[in-house]
Amino acid sequence: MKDVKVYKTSILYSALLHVLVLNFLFFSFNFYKKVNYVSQSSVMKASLVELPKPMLPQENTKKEIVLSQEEKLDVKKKLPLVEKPKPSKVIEKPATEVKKLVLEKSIKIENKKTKIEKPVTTKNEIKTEKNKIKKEEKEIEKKAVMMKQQQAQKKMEEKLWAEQLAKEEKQLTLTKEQQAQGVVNKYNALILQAIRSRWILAESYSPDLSAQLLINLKSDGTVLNVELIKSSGNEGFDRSARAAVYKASPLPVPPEADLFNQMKVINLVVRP
Amino acid sequence: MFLSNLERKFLFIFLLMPFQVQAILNLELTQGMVGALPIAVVPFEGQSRVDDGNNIAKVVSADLQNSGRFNVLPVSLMKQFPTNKENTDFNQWKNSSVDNLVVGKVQSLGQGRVRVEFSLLDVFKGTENGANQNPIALTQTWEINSKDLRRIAHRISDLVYEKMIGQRGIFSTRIAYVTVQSRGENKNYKLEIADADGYNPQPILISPEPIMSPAWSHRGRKVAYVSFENKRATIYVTEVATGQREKVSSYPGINGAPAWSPDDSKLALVLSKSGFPKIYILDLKTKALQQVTTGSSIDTEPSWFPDGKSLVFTSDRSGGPQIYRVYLTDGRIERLTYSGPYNARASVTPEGNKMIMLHRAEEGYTIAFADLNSGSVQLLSRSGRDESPSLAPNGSMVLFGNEYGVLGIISTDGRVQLRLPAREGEVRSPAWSGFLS
Repeated sequence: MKDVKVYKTSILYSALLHVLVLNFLFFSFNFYKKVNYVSQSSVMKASLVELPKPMLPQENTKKEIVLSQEEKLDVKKKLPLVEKPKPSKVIEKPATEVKKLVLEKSIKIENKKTKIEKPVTTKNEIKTEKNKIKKEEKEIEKKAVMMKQQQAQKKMEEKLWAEQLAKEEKQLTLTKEQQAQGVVNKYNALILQAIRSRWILAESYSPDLSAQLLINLKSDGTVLNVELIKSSGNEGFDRSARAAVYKASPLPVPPEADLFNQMKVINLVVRP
Repeated sequence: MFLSNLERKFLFIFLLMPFQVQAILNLELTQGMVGALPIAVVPFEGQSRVDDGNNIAKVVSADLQNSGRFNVLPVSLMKQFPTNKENTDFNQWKNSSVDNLVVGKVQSLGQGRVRVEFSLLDVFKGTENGANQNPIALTQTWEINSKDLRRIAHRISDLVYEKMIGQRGIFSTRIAYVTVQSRGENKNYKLEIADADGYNPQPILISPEPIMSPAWSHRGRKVAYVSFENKRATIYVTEVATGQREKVSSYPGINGAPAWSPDDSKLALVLSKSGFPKIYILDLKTKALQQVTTGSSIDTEPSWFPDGKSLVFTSDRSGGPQIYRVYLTDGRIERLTYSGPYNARASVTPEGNKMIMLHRAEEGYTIAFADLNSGSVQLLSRSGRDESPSLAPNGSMVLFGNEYGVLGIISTDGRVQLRLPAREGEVRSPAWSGFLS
């Protein structure tokens, strides 16, 4: 229940963020014609992808929101940070980084917008400023695309790796199980052989007879007790089978504890 | 949060269940060795090892060995002679490959009375591998007259047999038979009863005229038989304990082959008063006679199904002798045997699904075991000169005679065949009793 609450808040915050981002994008659309549509949309998409992730740290989101609200003051400090490529970190925390990027970008755009809105003194100044902004804008777009690609690749690799791993693990478990089953089967046969070789039928009992014994074994195969679960109706036949089990003690059992555990209680159905 | 404590507990149990099921290994065991159970009968303390007929260990050993179901360890191979579980070294018996041990002792109480203690021990439970298991499978004490030692020995055999094999033992049952001694021209017929192992014979009737077809009542108190002592066939019933006898059938012509109904209230018999030998049922209380089969064939040797609702009998109605079944409710008759030209003298097992009979094979007359469901016939004896098979009350053994007048016993699985102690003269028409207790 708590998780759902957290999730809700993050959705709320994310929605709020998106409104802001869209607003900023909308404004930049108007002012700058050389905006890369594809990259913009991809950035948007990237942020959308992150949306449903409930694991997004709450504190981070809060911080970023605060960041965006603080606007200009922090932007200049943050800018160089964004420009510095930190691929390893990006790879490690793709979700937060992209989010940050988006945020920072929007902040920057806002910043530029405000800058542009400010009364400029000279045309040169405006030009250089414009170029500079353009350059920065492009760089950010580039980085975003790169990051997106890297991320996608990484994701793909991870996915493949995980698939491979799962496959191998499955194969391994299967092989192990098969091996264990093989060992269990072998011991089943040995146990039956041990009991059968000591089982003497002194009477030609009716083939319809059937008794059921529950055998409890010690880890060395010693028969602890043989319980008659279902009598055949013929005491002599029941006895002959019980005697055979006791006489076969200790029964052959595997030394491996996990395998032995599979046969420490034996439900033995006996027919003439 | 959305699950109550109880719900969570259930969920927990539910999640655990598959693991619990997984932890039990399910195996199925079939096809044990068909063989004899290794057992040791230790000489009872307080008895000499002389075989005077009352030596419990010797009687029990012979009973178990002769049943074919046990492999009895010879006394010469025994390394110790325990009398109870406390003084038994189970590992030592395990090394002798013995699974079970009969131990006990006989104490004199004076005035001809003795106390007999007996235990059946499970060797595999007494060894360290079977730690914490009670090795006593059976234990019992009797105070008896010393003349009953052999009877108690058979009783011990019965207890061991029932415990180990899972069906009632027949060592305390009895048999009846007719001996024929020839003195020149004269013959002497004697109807005798004896223990199932042939010991302790007692005469019921001695006659210069033929005695035939003795039949034990199922409770073992009475014997019915045919005697020609009055120069004509007459069926009598003698109460064994008192010697009292009653004439039950003396119609003109044949009076033969009496067979007790499962509840001992009726006798099935063969009468020829109508001109041909036919099966009748005589109510012993009301003396009412009911004719079961009709026609011009020879019908003989009736024997009851365990449920008392139908009989098997031998008839030549389709040529040679074959076994038929007649249902007493509606008189319906069906043929049971098709294998071979001669099948006769059938008796049905206690389970009602098989019968033993005299069957003529290539070798001659043999004892055969027929499956009533499949119709398959399995030969038990192979001498070719056998006759008069009679089934033990537990269905495990067949007592039979042969043309040399010697009695034999064969197990219905064919594993054991033995001869009973020889009697003076020829022995004919053996009959096995029901359970006496």
